[in-house]
Amino acid sequence: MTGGQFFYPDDREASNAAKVAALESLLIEKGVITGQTVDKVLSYFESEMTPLNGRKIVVKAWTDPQFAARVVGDTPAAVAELDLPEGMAGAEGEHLQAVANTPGVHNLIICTLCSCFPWPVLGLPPYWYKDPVFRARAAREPRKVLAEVGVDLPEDTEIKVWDSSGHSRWFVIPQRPPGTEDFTDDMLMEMVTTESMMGVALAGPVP
Amino acid sequence: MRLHETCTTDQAAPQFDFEWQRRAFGLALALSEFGHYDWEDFQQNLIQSIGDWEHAPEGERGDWHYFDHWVAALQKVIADHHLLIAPVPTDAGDHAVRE
Repeated sequence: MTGGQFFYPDDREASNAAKVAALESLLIEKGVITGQTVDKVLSYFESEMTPLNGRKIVVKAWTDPQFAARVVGDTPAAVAELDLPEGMAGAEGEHLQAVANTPGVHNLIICTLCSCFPWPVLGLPPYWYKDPVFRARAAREPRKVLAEVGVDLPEDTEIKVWDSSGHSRWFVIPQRPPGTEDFTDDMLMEMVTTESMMGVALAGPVP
Repeated sequence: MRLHETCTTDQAAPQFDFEWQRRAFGLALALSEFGHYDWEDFQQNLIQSIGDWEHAPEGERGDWHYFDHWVAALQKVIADHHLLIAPVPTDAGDHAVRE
């Protein structure tokens, strides 16, 4: 240790693991939670709060113009029309906000403060979403960041960056890829990636 | 995908590198889910911890480890709500019962 609150001993992983295990044991001992609580919550989260929900919402928006309008106007109400799993505290569906890409507008979601993410529709964020450099650069120079990840947008396409917070957890309805007019819903589902619902990719066949 | 030198996106990468990160995530969510605090309270601590790191001089703050902040926020919210000192009773469904 060389001083300063942000220096860690070499065994910081072990120390964190011990801290978390101790917290959970103490909370169980005090009767705050049971020995099954954390596993139950994780199991629900991991099985129900997945990008599959987001993909269903996007395909519905692509195939039903009225739903497409409703999902942007009042996201929680529109999402409630679909048969999706119930939310959880901390992952509340009431804070979901959809934004739709159009020929002239591309949307990108970030969280500059703490990596808020629309869990109920996209699951957990990829690790790079939480990276401070990504968060700062995406806010400052989104066009450049998008070009680097392969989303080259025409100069006249406006890029809107949406900063998530506890009150608004944004996700993107990407544009329906051209040439998919005859696709079934299942085929369309394959076009919707998590990245496309974050705005760091366009919808389309997974390469 | 490549965002910058140290941040290459990899869609196949697991969301948690270690089981303790997964449990820390589950614990924070579980305590909120069962009514021991509002998610906002945890989130404000997380924002504060990350903000402190971002505003600290580079030479003094150590490497970026997202889950260090998560654990710090969790410890603080548990302390702030006296969960280990004065836990509130829970009902048959394990939810906190507020008087």
